[in-house]
Amino acid sequence: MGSCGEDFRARRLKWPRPKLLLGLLLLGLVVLLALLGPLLSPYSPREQVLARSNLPPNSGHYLGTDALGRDLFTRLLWGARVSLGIALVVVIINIAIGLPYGAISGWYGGWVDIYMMGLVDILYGIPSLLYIIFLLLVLGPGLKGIFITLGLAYWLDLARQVRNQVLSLKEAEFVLAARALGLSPGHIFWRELLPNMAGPLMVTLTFHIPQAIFLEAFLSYLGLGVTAPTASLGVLLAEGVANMRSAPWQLIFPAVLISLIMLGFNLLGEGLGEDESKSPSPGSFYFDHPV
Amino acid sequence: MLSYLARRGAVAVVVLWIIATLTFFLMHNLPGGPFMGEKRLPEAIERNIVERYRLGEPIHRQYKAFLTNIIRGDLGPSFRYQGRSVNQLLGRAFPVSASVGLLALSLALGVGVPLGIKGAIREGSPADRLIFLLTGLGMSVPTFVLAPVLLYVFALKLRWLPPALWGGPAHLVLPVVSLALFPTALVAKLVQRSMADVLWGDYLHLARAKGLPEWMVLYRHALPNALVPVLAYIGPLTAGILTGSFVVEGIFALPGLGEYFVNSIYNRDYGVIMGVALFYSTLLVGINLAFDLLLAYLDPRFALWGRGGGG
Repeated sequence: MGSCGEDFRARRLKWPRPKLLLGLLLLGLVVLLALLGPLLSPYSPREQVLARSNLPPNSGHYLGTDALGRDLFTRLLWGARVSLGIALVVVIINIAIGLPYGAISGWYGGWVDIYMMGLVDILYGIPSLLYIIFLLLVLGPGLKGIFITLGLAYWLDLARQVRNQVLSLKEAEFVLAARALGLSPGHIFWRELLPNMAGPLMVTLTFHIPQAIFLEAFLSYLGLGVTAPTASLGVLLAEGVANMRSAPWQLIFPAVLISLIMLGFNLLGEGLGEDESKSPSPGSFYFDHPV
Repeated sequence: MLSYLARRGAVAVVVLWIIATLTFFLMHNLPGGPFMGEKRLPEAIERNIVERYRLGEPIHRQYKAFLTNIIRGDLGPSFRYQGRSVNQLLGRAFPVSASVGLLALSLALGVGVPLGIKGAIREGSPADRLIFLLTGLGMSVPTFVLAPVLLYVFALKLRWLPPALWGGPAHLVLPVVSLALFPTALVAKLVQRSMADVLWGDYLHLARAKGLPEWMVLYRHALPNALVPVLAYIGPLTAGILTGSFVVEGIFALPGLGEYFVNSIYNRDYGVIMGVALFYSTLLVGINLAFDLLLAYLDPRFALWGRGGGG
């Protein structure tokens, strides 16, 4: 189905690849800032100095202060740290569920496949955002709830993709050879299959990270995400929205930082995707939560 | 085709049943929820709830009563406002959400489709660059970031547009634009991609060789084929617009469903949360079903492989 065109495009690629480079540069900068946060700023993200509340950006506070007199630059650095950390954990949970699920479904095929993928289809039909919110109300706000709900939300894509790839790879000659040698399915999966599907999987995961940041920020914005005094970028944005009339910088800076992180991951994903002749369809990542 | 219809319909029913069951059990486990009896509700409301959900009876009876009520289309009372039912609320709020959502969807299609066609014809044309810019923006600026920023710039700073509330058409501009940015970018990108795929097909070469004018080739021969894969994403896109409206309505204080939903999260009005969740789920399942059947009708191959498989 139209694979000729895609192969053609893939062959035409050449270095330098601006998307990939720009994405790496952007993310490298953000990660560096998040990691070096404590070294870059003399303030603590929690220290409240009410006398200095709602200051506009100045030489002491590069990005101004918030309503409780906390340094916004410091808060953003820590917020980025929290948001990136959450995204990373969520992606790991995803892999832990989606990879084995898809692999088993694709490897055994037949009825196993029909039932396992049928379940995925049904779960796909559930509007995930609504039920993430519901589940968070049950679990209570906080990191644990975020990890559980977001972990549950994203593995479907991955399971489908892994299943399709295992299904198409398992008849390949090198896999048949490995089976003829009597190697165990586990061994074949780790040593033969996984290295051959790592590329497209990386692309998918690269797109999942901004999705997770997105969703966490939205949930925090609703007051269901991480709880004070920890602040993720979504919390900072929500505070900014509340104060936008009197202190617009509290809105603008978190908005810019969130957008830059998203842009970085999307560029990275597209840059990596240019490499793969079979780039995954946009359906898998753009649509689920374009909140 | 018929078997596809039956299978697809059956899946939709199963999904709805699972959603209803999930909702029931989640409601039962809500901390401080209506079924835990921790928090005192106003007496009249509590009496209503006990009676309606058969709280004194064994759980399978409660479950049955719950399902019967839903099937009859009765979504129950609000847990905070005495004498208000979720159905009344839906009747008042849904038209607001629907008009904002439909406007955003029309904007997305009305701008996205022509832009995508233009962008597909020549690489590097202004339309192509605009699509690149739009997708970059649409993918990296979430609606809940875009909406307050637009509100700040256009309503508070420039004072061109009213900042909030429901009124004349001017009140709709900012919400619709913030809701439509991402879908517009997406539609343009999809149309561009699928047009580019069909544009050099053999049947188009034939059409050109026959001497048809280029607009005929594009609009009569290329476009219908290019739009089929795009159609497959309209369902999920509608879902996205609906959920996006939660944020937009909250920020612009539009009295739509999203606003009620978000408020009911803040003040833990579980009756409304449950009712809105069930209503939206049914709506989305219905929309997806309708689009899947439409697709299967337009392109029978779709019925054979479905959306995810076959690739």
